[in-house]
Amino acid sequence: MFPIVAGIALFGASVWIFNELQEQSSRERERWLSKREEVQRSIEWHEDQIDNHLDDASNSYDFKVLIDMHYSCVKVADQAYLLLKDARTSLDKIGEAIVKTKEQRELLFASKKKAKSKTERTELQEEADSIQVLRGKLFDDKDDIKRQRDAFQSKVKDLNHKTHMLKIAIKERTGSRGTEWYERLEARKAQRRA
Amino acid sequence: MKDVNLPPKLTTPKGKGKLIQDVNTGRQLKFDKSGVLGFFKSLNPLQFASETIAQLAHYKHQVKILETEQKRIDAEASIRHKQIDSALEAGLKLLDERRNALQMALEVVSKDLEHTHIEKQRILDCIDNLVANISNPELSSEEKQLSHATMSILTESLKTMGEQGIVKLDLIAKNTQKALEAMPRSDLLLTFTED
Repeated sequence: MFPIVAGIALFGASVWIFNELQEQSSRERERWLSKREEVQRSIEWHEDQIDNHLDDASNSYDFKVLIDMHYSCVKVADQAYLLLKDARTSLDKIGEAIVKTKEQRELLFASKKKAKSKTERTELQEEADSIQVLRGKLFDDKDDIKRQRDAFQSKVKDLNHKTHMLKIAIKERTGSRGTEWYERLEARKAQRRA
Repeated sequence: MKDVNLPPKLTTPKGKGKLIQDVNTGRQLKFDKSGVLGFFKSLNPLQFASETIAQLAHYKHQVKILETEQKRIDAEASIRHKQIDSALEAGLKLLDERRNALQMALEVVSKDLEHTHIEKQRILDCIDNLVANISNPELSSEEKQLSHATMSILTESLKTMGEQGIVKLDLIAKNTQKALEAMPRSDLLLTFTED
């Protein structure tokens, strides 16, 4: 009788141990699976954080690069505008000189007609010739300075376009920093215009 | 007998390059139960017990590995953040140096053009006086002819200065363009490679 009872007890104990082991193994497996998911989530979180950090750093850098480009472009455009203004003023002055010389030449011809002595006529003719030479030179120089003015005008236009493109790029490509910079710039412009 | 415990899939990179190195996430432990041999093995209670104990030990070990991996990921992420900060700092420093150099160059040309502008103003003032001389009845014919010759020289100077202005402007525009093109791009400055 005893061996049968002992056998049953042993069998029962074995089944209990097996079940216990299996449960423990299943629990450990669950723990491992949940830990694995946790690690995966942590990787995704860290990668998002790094991505955001990279975007932010990239925006900061691009902002600085574009600001520098904008600054240089504005400086060069200012110089081009100064040269353009000079060319315009030069043209105005030459224009004035051309008008004056025309008036003077007509006066000289009128005086020559009225002149009585030959010496006086010769003197008036010499002055008229000198004015004619000057007028020729003034017209030639005016044409050359006009070409220069056109070159400066196209440079100013080109630089202004580039400056505008840079301004838009700063506003649109460098995040909130760029938008704020753009708004400040526009506010300053509006203030200057007012 | 075929290997039923295949290596785990690698974590796929996302975003900008591979931000976190491959992670060992472990694998399930499976036993080959196929075939006649597998059938007889499954009938053996001791074999069953040994497999269960092996699985238990395996999962405990895998959890330990994952805990270590988690620490490694945290450390690696922290290194990545520091790398970004350092790269940005270095990039901004480089930009500062280039900006200073460019500003100095622009300043030199700007001063030069400013001097030319002042000189042109003086020439224009002289031309103003000479234009007034054209119709001045108090001046002699010789003096007027001298004024005409001087005016020719002065307008010639204006023309020459304008030409020089074009050359100088082209030069600063080209130099500025070159300097700006030489600035490193942000995507090259802040990229992680697997090297």
